[in-house]
Amino acid sequence: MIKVTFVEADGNAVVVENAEGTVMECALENDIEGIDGNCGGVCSCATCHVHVAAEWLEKVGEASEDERDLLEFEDNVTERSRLCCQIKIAAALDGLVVEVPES
Amino acid sequence: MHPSCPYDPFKEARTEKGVLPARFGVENIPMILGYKDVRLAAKDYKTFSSDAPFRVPIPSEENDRSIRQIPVETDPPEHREYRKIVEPFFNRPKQPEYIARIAGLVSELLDKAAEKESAEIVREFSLPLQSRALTYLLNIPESEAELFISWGIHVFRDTEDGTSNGQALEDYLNSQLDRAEQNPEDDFFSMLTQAEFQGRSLTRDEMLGFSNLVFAGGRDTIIHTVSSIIGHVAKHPEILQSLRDNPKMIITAAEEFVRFVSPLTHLGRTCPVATNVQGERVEAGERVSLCWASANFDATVFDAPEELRIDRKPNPHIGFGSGVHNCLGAVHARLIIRTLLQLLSEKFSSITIIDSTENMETETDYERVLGYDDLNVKITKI
Repeated sequence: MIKVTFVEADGNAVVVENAEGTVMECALENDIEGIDGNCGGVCSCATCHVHVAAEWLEKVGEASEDERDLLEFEDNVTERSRLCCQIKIAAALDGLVVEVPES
Repeated sequence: MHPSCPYDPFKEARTEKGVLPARFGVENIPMILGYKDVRLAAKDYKTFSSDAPFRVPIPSEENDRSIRQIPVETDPPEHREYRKIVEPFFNRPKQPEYIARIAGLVSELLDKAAEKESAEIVREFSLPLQSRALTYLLNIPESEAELFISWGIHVFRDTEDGTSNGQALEDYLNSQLDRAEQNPEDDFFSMLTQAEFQGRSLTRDEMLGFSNLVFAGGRDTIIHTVSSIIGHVAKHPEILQSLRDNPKMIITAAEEFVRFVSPLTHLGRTCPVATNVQGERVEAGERVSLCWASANFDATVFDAPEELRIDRKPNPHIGFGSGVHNCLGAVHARLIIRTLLQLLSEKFSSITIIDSTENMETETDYERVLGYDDLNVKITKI
């Protein structure tokens, strides 16, 4: 059982206890406000933009070049920005916290 | 001009200069062709503005309609407030009952087509599919689709004598808004009559602007995408088998078809001040084109862009545009495309083309394949 916490833009925290797949798929299954995942995870739509909590950055790792290129055109992008369809849930990420930026 | 790939006539100009100076009627419009340049221009609304009634589409539509389309022909910050009004309605295609309704519709039309020895896919399949699905999106009676079907493939340019249906559309939209004001229900028009913008109700022109866009924006685009998919699947029978073996691939296949078809070639932006676009001077008040179709074949972003790869991932295509103006109807369009691919692969073994005429988008300086004028096929059940 891998736990992921989503902090929605209004500060509301949603804890998912049995996360699997990608962080985007997990967000859709749990109706996380502000994560739409419209393109289904092919890195086209950027509707799954999150900010990874600072303490998790190292474990989550860096965005690929494709993902960085896409993020470049988004609003509210910081050095903690990721498209969460590109983050695969794994044991090492148990306890992960991501924040949904203002859309 | 005979481009090496009929879907990408911009390759040479894109690789050599990044821009194609093109003529549309009396207007010279430099087309921005490279992926990154198109995306940067789409983001930079101060240099490349959408705040220009009738002048976001190319060619412009001064003679086709009398009102500004909203939110597409506005800039931030108004754009964001306008878009917020209609966004919830355009997310309805995520609801389970909506998804089931689209599946029922696609299934019915496919079954009907499969009964025929020769099924016509453009006017007998794609047009009714788009028109009936539009009544679901607007949440109005499905019988209204009969009228929409009579308007043809492109609402402004598909009459026998070449004249525009623009006036008929505006009359229809006014009658719907009259009805909604007197008798509001749970439909798109009633939502507009009850909406608030900057602390006031919408004006009738604003309501017409939203409504007009819904009819114009998602019509020929969906129809050309649907007919292209059926034509392509017919020519590449292995696609249906791959999707049957791996239904998860429907998602990536749908995105790849949007990239490959790029159903909207480009949109215009107006430069408020004189601007240099890759060496082309654009005077104040003149336009540039953001060419999604070219960007989607940029080999610096997409490996082997001329190949349709149904498992392409990542696929950062901009077939639905880019930036704040990205396609409002994309959720609805994606649902139609995914449902079509799913049902085709689940229920049908093969599609055979009997005869076809490709539709060519022909301009002075380029010509590209965009769907079909006619596509007659035999669809065979499993």
